[in-house]
Amino acid sequence: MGSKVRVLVHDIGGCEGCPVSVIRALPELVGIADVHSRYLGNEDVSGGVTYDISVVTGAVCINEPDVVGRLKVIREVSKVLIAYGSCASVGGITRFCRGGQEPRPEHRTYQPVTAVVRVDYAVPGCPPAPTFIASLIKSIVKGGGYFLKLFSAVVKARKLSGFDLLDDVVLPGLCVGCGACILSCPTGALQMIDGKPDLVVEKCIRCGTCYVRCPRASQLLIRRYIQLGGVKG
Amino acid sequence: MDSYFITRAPVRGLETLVRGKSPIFVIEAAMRICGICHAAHGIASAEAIEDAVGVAPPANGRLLREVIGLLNRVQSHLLHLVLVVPDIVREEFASSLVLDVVKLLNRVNDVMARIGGAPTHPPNIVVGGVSRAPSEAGLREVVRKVKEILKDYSRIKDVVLDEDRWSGKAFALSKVSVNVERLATHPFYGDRFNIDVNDVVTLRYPRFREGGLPEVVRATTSLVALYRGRAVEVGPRARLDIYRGLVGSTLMDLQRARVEEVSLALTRITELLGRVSTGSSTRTSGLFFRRGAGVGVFEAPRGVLIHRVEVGDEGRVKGYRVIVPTMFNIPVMEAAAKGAPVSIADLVPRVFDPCVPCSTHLIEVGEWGPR
Repeated sequence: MGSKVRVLVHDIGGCEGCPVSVIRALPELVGIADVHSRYLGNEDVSGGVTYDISVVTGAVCINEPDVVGRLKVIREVSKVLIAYGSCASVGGITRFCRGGQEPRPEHRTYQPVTAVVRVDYAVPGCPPAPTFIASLIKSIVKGGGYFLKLFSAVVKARKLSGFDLLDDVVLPGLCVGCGACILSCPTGALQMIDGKPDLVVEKCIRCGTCYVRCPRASQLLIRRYIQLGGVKG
Repeated sequence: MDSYFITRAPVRGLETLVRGKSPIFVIEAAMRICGICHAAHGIASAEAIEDAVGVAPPANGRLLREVIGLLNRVQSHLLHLVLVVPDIVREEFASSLVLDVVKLLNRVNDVMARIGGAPTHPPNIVVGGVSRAPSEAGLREVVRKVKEILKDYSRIKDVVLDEDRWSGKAFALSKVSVNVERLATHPFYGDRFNIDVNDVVTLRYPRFREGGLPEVVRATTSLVALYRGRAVEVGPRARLDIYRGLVGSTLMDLQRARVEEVSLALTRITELLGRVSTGSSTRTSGLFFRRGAGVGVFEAPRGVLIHRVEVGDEGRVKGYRVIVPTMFNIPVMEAAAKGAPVSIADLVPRVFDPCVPCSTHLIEVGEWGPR
């Protein structure tokens, strides 16, 4: 691609940690992408402007029609939509939301972006490492790569947590004890006990980072959702 | 003409989300209120839980926690510079300056990763202190890095404060004054004994501004906080005013205070790190959770941040309240916007650096009608 790709970064209902992690990557991105964001004062989500890639962060508050409507508009004007970060891709901390808080107690139902509109790639992380977004955009422009397969599989998984890692990798005996999950966990919820990862359950925020980082679990995702077309197990 | 500060971010509801949970989970959840003030929320939450169960971090833990909090302050103020430089610095200097600030921010993030465990939502903040201390060599390396950051920041600061490079908007900001009582509890950390939290009330917006409000204003998703029944300004200027006698009432003075606070924070970080002794513990040992109520007060980048927790018999959270600095600043921003020309009405609240998950959803301030 000769010219720079037009990239939108938009938070639909999160803590803004993910968009900030993209802004931090700006020095790397300026050469390949023309970034549009509230932070840069050049965002337009009215529907009148199109984007090559939209990076949407945060979870969707179903009780707020404006939010759902805005997300649909972004889907329509974007060639590629990335659900970026744990809330957008697999729910993350918003999986614990239950509403009832002032001043808008009716805001009680949250869903990841992947459950609301068609998403091309979903990237867990709380937040994903800032170095990651540039290589992801490059892969998308190039149109291939292992990561793209993995992140299109996450779109279909919709929820991932430390429990899934234990269930799918550690308990069936697939774990080789490499420790990648422990290094990747943003809350320190995984610890190595007797050469195998163990979950500190009250620290797991269901962000799914460990699952995509695990060399075994990530292959399971691709097999289940891409090669076997969604058959579980 | 009137002005309203409206936020549209959905309420994810941390206060109800943590009910019934272990305090260990609460700190992780609290940090995820905000991706910018993550550590501030984490520290306020830890302080509240510690107050409730009757423990305090050891000296080392307290020092490192303050370092993490100040690194967060620097991160937040630098990010704010990224947002505000294109408005207050003339175009020919702005774009390269923005990239310089982002590069500096990335170096601060690197330091945060070493001390806090991650640049965002630093997991080393735990109940009872800080989960791990850097090694002796690691500490020296960090001090060296912070000193270099301070040196390079001075150059950025000189550009931002150089009136010859100011935009027209910067001069317009320097003509708008706002004189509201100021509230701060500590120059660097936060002190629950310097504020009477029972004198803080939070109101739904329609109760705060009675009368015929437009429908869109009634739907705002933020509460307004008053102290002793009055509006108070919190944040960098309030801290510098109360603890350093810096007085200046214009909106550019507010920005100057924020720019100044970065240098003060970086200097303080090097001093604090010099006092950390790597051999001794950073975390209270023998911790258990029991019934109690506690308050955590921390000077977040944007001002006084209050977390209140009630822990039940089984050591699980029964009640939780969070009062964020922007709730205090909403009436102050509105007063400032009313006194400002419409040409800078959008910039006025942004100079207060309102919490980003709220503020960037801000739609209109100043004359009614879409911008």
